[in-house]
Amino acid sequence: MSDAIGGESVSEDEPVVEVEHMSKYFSSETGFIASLLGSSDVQAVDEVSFDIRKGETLALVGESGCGKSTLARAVLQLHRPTDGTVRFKGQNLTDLSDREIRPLRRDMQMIFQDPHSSLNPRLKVGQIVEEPMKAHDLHDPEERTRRAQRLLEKVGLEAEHYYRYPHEFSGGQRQRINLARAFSTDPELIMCDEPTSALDVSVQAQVLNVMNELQEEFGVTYLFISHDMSVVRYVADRVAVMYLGHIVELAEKEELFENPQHPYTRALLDSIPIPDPRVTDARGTLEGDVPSPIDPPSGCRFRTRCPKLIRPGTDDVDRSELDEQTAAAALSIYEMSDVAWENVRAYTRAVTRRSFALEDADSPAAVRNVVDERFFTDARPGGEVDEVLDRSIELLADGEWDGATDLLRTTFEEPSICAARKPAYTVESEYGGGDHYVACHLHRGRGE
Amino acid sequence: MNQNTILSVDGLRTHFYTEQGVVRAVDDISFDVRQGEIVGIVGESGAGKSVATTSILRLIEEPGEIVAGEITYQDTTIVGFDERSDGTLVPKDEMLTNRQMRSQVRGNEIAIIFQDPMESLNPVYTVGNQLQEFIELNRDLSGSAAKKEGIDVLREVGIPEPEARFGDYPHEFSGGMRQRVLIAMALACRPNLIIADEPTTALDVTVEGQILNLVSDLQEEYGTSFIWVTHDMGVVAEICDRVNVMYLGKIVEQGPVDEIFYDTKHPYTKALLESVPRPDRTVDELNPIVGTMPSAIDPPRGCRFHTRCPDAREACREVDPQFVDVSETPDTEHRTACIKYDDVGYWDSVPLEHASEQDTSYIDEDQRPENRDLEQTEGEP
Repeated sequence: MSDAIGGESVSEDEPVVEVEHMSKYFSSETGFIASLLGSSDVQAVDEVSFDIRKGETLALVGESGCGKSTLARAVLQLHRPTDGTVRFKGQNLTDLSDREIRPLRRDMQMIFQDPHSSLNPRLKVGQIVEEPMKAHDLHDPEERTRRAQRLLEKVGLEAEHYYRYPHEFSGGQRQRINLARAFSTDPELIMCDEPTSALDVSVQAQVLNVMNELQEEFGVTYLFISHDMSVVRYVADRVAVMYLGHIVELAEKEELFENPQHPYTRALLDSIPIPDPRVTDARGTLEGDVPSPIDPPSGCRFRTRCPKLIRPGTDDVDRSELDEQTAAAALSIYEMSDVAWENVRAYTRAVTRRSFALEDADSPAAVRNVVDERFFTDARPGGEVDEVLDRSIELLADGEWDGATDLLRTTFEEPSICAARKPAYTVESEYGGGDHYVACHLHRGRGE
Repeated sequence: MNQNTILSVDGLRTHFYTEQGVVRAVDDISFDVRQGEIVGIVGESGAGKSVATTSILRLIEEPGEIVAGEITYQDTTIVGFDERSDGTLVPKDEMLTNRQMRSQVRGNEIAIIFQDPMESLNPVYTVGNQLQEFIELNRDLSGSAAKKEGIDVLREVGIPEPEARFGDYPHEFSGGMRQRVLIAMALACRPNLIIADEPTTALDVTVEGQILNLVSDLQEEYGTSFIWVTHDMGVVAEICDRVNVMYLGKIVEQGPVDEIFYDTKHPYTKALLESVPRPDRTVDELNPIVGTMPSAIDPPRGCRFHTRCPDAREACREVDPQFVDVSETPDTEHRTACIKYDDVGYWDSVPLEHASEQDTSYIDEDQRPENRDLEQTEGEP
């Protein structure tokens, strides 16, 4: 990657885009309510690094609010990143002014989710498709018309549609018009933000096929944003899974779907209903909700819901790494069986969410009965751990749910390596030869 | 009729009288629901799924009208018509009045959950307030007892800190939480049948998974029946016992879920399954259905799918397909409305131009689930 700047194209397998430690924070201090409460930044995207190679489709998947659209927009400098660098064909976009970026936009086009609001209803289809060419001063008017008509045919419409208005078209057809517009400047990279999620399945398949054909013909690179794992499995070459502003896993498609390593990716894949009634895998569902990005969990952001949260007290974390309050609450040893640890974890989360009722139990003994019956039927940890549990039960008996939550979380969640350090590991791929990045401490010791 | 049938819909037609013409949103559909089962209604947007379900609760509003058909819930007539001597239809005497629908059926016998929870909840009342009112009205519980019951159902559907959240307003809940609130509301009166109209479509997949699990648990615990409206074949495969596939106001195929997927009869169902991307395996090429769904104001003559059907022949343009029983065994009750399975001259007629032009090879060769029984798929005469 040297000085391939401007219209020159990069060679195969070279990164078109390189993102390093990019963050995007939004200030939440603009509203009246926010000013009353006092606020900190929304960490929409936090220190992500990845690259996009020429001619590939990189999919960004994740649930709503995970920051995938923000990340993509920050890559294209629609939102300026708070921190970090974004290189497009070797050029650092974060150093450039808006004016300097404008000519580069010819090579970065976009397609959005809503086919109804992304086309100007007052313009004819032809004008819409020609607009980017005009903006970048490409070709003479006749050539633009010719190109627009040819593109309309390429995306499966007819050249005569050039003279019609957007309202005459269905959702699927409008997305084709959007495609024609995006391709009109012969771009290097197209960001597709959920391009088919507003469409019916049969139409979705039409549009996805057209996108594939166009990519084969023009060698364009797609940054494909979607929440739909099935669509991603169909279109992507590599997949990045996002959770609460972090990329938790990034690997080639086959590897990611067949050999997922992050507990979140697994949960996501497990929860997709499979269109086959004979597949009767038990649905592994995730507990709880996504935490707020204003005050995200430290370390691994998925740890508050993770079914594999690592027991504290392992050798990985040094006590000096913990903050004062956590260090004070942390036990000297956390010896217990795996089953007991699972029970403790479940109990901690249940207290946090108040997902059980104590009904009339108001004495510690009564509460203990309820808790034992619900969470510790098979195994109860002994020793120091048990003492903490007893203290939490006393707090519950006094109605001090918040106190019990604090106690349990600082003792059992915060001292874990998952809370103390941000994970980032690369493991070997089982399918295909590419790198497999996974942000999970379960892979510690298997390479950094 | 099966003895466990609790709801039967027979020949239902719901039309909308608009300035552009009559929209035959639901045009002569029949299906039933048995105790404790989940019946799916699946189809693309504009197929008439939601109109069908709102008709069951008689919630159709102007300019829509139920113009024909019979809907029976247990022994009560929700919709029924008598034919006068001059051929006009008048509502039957035993048909429930609107007041009876409100007091006897909606909420406590049949409840409905809509797709958009924000529109179903009143933004100016707290969630608890709405839930409590609903319970007081339907279950004869007074103030504090209704509140306690409300908190219990909120906890049951997995709302964290239900006591605290009881006093929150709808906008303070996330989308998934609001949908849970609606489910809690539907459950609070222990209805016998719950109509769920795309309840998970707007939700993230992990939240959808939580809700589907919840539904399975509830169904097991209370034996509640469900009508599940969706466009997602994955959800259908996951939870439904029997399925009705709708296209442009008609049910084109109905049968047990396994047969719909593994012994698919109607070309539309087949095409729908072919066009879904798979989460569990990598597919090289999807086979979309050509074209878009025509308008229900002026639907195609004959079979409504013939304009897009890869198997369409001349006869499909002329003959209005009737439901044909294609069950392998007497108790499967697998029916489809395609003249390929009827004796009305399909096989002697010429293929339509669009059908011969387009690539239909995929229909014949390897069928979607690889282990499908090949000789059963074409249904030779």
